Amino acid sequence: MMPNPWKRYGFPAAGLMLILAAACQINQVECDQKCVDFWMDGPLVNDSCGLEGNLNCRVSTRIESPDSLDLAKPVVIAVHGYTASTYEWKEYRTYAEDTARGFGTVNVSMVLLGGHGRDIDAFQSSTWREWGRPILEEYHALDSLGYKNISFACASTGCALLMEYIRGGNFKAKPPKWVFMVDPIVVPSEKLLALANIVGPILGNSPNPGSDTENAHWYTNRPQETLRELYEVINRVKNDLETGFSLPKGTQARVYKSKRDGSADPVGALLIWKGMRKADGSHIEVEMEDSHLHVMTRLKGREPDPSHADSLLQTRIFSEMTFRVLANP
Amino acid sequence: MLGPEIGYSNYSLASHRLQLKAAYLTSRLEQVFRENILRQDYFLFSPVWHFGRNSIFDPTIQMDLGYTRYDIENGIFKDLDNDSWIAAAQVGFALNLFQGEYGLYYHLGYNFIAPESSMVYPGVFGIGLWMML
Repeated sequence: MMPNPWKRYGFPAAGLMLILAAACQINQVECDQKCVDFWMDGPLVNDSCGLEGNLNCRVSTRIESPDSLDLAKPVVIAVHGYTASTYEWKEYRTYAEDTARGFGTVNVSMVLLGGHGRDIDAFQSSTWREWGRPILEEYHALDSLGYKNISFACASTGCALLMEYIRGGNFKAKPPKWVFMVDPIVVPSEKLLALANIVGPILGNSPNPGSDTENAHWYTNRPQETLRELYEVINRVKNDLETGFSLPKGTQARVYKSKRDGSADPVGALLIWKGMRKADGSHIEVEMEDSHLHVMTRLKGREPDPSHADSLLQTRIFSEMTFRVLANP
Repeated sequence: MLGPEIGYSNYSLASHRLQLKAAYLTSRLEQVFRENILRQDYFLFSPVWHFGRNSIFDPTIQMDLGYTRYDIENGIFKDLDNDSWIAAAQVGFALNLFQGEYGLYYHLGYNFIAPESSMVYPGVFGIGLWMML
């Protein structure tokens, strides 16, 4: 008697499909009452820099008609990372614009990446190209207003986006003075991200809850669509670095990388040091930090509390960045 | 990663079904067209089980056990963990051509050791040509 092929293959296949479907259901993005009321993922909590009418975050909108004194002041465009918000650079803004004011004024322009700082639906449907668009918008806006001394400070995925634009020659016409990279991500510490295209549809969503402060300023849910976008952009940058590219003439770069980092593999600093050279072909500056924090520009709201050494390190990095952009070329 | 592999099998090893392979794979040759690639080396020992030694299409399963490391290149990076063990399981097939004198193989699988700080990913695959010595 012929075996029934449905019995032989159909039932196991149907069972497998059910398990996969269940896995997808379990890991769908959900936003319960706590999420709605207190988390960035929900509709009620937004990054203030994303609110319509808030002109305070970007320097191009904060100073409506800049005079020659304003235009001579250095501007640092600060770019945050994946799932984060402008909160990641607020401590630097306070330092550069208030604490270090005695040394000279640096204006910090906080850019909110596309798809970020709003709600999880906006994030889920965004692409990495949309994430990066506000960086170029602010750079071109400052350039067209006549600012002469523009630099970048980026964190994590913000640096991957910035490197993609540098490689694409977007800043050749008006090179930035400095590019400061804090924990740039080129190789993820979580290596399963490399399989995002395969396991992503099964896993669906990888929630990463943090402290209450973090949940209010970072997306807690990480939809698989965004993880795929993230891996696409960092893998693209890794390939670019392996081939090699140069900074625009006159631009300098400095990388600060934690030696132990649960998000961005420290080997990324080596890849950047090898692959992104100054215009004259020499190596950029890299400093490996004795820290386990990912993006130490933000210490507030971390659990457990950062150490005194972390605070000292943050202050030193902030002062180095500030003095470098203030220094004459 | 490219590199040579040597394998051994005889009839006393499960009627030729078990093959023992050792490989050295490196990224150093890729520097010709990607000059800034990390200089990474793999040293692998791979027992392979063949399900169809006597047919053209020969399904296989294998383990990869070994070690990998990359060059640090500058003292700035001296604290990087630049090495890792490898333990992977793979499935694939070999094509036995010309009465088994020459052939092709392909396999893919999962590496169970992919530390946070490493250049080792969980997804692995291999493709190669072989000839009988």
